[in-house]
Amino acid sequence: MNQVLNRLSRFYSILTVLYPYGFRQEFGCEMQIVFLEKMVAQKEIGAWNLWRTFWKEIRGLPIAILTEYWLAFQDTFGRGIMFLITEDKSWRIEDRRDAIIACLPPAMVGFGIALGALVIWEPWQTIPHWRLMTGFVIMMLPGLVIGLGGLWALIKRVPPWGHIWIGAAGMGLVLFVKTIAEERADFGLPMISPVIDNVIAVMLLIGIAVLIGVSAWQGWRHAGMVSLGFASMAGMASFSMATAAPFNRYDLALIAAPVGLMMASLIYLYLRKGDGGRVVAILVFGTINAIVFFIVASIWDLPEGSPSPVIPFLIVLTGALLVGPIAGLVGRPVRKVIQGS
Amino acid sequence: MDYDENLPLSEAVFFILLSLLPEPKHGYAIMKDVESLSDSRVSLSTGTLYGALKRLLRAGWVQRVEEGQDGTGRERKAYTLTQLGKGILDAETARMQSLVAITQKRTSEGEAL
Repeated sequence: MNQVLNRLSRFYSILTVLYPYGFRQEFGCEMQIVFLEKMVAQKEIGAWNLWRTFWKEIRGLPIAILTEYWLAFQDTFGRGIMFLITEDKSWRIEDRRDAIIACLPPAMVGFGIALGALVIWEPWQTIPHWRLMTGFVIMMLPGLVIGLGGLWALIKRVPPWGHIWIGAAGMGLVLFVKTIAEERADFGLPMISPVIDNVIAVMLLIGIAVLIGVSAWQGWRHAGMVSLGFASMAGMASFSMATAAPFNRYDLALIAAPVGLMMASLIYLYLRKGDGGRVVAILVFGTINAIVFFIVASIWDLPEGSPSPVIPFLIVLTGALLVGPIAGLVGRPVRKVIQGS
Repeated sequence: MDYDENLPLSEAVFFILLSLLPEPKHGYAIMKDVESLSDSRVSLSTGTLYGALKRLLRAGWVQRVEEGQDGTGRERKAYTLTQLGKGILDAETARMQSLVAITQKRTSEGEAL
């Protein structure tokens, strides 16, 4: 075959890959054959005809491809929300050990906060430095383990337990950076310049969006696991706030251990039971987070007239919990249209 | 069956159906025939043709028939008009004939005045 025709044909076959999966499976090969036949016929008439016809073929392609995507989305989403929710409903984490590992982050953080609080117990100015540091290390250690675990899960290309750990590590990183930045700013020692601070914030947001996006590609159940990781760390952060000066409510921080265990049980329910169990787990998880936050917020002594942070924080907590499942309800059908699986 | 609810047809769809009326054809033959039938006015790109064929297949107006293998050993697919497709084409033709008749009647009335 003529080299020009060969190249044009190859170029066209690359373009046909841009069609939705179902369409290119059904017509992709045929289109390439027909395109080549057309080009061969035009070349026999003359080079001008060949390039003119090639241009007409290429010019119409973007609209044709977009039309097929539009129709494919209409077809997939047109099956209704129940279809999107119940598709792959038999999914669950089969291996009990994987499920147990996945449940660990909130339990570890909860016990870390409670044990650390037990060690410190009194206002930090009044206790020996070693006690403060020991309590602090006990509180922070689970966060470090979760961070490393999340990294490991990413390296291992997200094993079954990995979504929760990655979500928890992601939210943990956000909270850690925010806490450090605020602590330093309180002492008039901003950690970094405001510009870099914003860059870090944007990068973290992009990172979280990518996490959600990638898991949403697999469906609402997978993205929901990332959300549970987010929400467990965001919820546990409420207890850390209670222990901070000037509140020093280490007694409240003790509740973190049973709450962490409850969250772990709900994650287990989510991973091992059906969709009904998952919905219950998400609802109860959200309710626990809200109750914990109301308890912690009740000790804040805000000046009269100052805006309450309760509603914004509840929105963040609820958003963290729901962003995954909602993104997954959209992401899975999008993947179906593009990849066909 | 009420064919009228599917009318009017787009020019591309009309010519594709018309092209398949006498015999089954594969993609490139349809393209050439449409161009010839329309006096080169309608020139279908490959993307437009297969987008239209997909919708015609889904609607059941055309169906696929195997046409044996081509020179490279690949299964060649041809398309043929179904009874439903033929009914739609007849209905569209009748609709256009009626339009022409109405126009001719009005024109002749105008000339008589």
